[in-house]
Amino acid sequence: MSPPDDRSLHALWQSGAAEIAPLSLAEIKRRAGRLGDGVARRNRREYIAIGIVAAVFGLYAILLPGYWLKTGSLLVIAGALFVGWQLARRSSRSDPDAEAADVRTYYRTRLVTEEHMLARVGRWYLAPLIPGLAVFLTGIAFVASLSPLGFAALAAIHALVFLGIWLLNRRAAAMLRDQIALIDDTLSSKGDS
Amino acid sequence: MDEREQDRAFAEAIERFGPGLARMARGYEADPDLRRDLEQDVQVALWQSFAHFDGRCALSTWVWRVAHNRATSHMLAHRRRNAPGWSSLDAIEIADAAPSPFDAAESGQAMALILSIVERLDPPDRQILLLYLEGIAGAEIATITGVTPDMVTTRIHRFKSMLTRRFAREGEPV
Repeated sequence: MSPPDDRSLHALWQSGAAEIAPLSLAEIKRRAGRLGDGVARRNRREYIAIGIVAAVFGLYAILLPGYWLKTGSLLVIAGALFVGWQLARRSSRSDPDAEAADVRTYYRTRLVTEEHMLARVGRWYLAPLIPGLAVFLTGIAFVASLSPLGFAALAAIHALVFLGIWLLNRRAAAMLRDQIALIDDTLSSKGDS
Repeated sequence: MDEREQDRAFAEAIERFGPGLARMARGYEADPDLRRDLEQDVQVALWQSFAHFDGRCALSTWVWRVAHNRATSHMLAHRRRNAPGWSSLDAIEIADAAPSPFDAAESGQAMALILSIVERLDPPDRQILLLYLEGIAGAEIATITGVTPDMVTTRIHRFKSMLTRRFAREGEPV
């Protein structure tokens, strides 16, 4: 059994019409002036979620009674804004210089950036929200006159959600580390894998 | 490079590589709307990159690097929606059921099989394969992707072996 020859494979791949989606030079320059690639678009959803959290807890801070709930709401807003700032700081962005590097180096760099972000999600994504949430839940316990057991159950539900987010992100970071190791192995194997 | 030269280099790149870039986009994104977005993102990335193009490498090397890097960013940004995971060529198994002769296969069928392999590959192997299908020489693929020419040869050989298992030549044992 002999493999298909190069020429027939190239001819097959290049058969049929293939035109790149047209874009005027003026439009290209306009888009180049804007920040953003796919990751920025993905982050935009996170920013919208942060905006919604800030708006809802802003209303809570105004409408809900008692210092615990008001203080907790303001701390949650501060935590959410901190998370937004960290997201912007830690995300990888399109970089015209980096994009001219060989593609394996570029891909590895992107994976390392993402891995760092996911592996430290407890520090920059979850921890900033914990003080506000703890104060807010304490306020709910006071207002609703919860028993210690009821408060513990309420806190446990939130703790489990946070734990789930942390574990999922740690798992994703571990998968990225595997991919990075694979690239490193491939580069050091001199092609005789 | 001033902006006029940048515009000229970009126009030359699109004229020479436009169809190839469209085919590359097909290898990274199956959804037509997202593919159009990717093609447009690639054009923006190319135009931006030419501000820094100093002839340190061939124009084709530069174009393919920038285009594949932007496409890789696209893959990473859309990975939650896309396939649950990518693999290297070593980890992919294709169904060997009902093999048919490559020469006799409908071109649409052969193309579908090639795309089904490409879509499951992780970026490093996908880049090598797409550049090979585009007819780029092994040495230049190595320069573009940052691996050794031996590695390129190995990956292409594996890919062709996979196709051979699926499209056995007429009259030969499968």
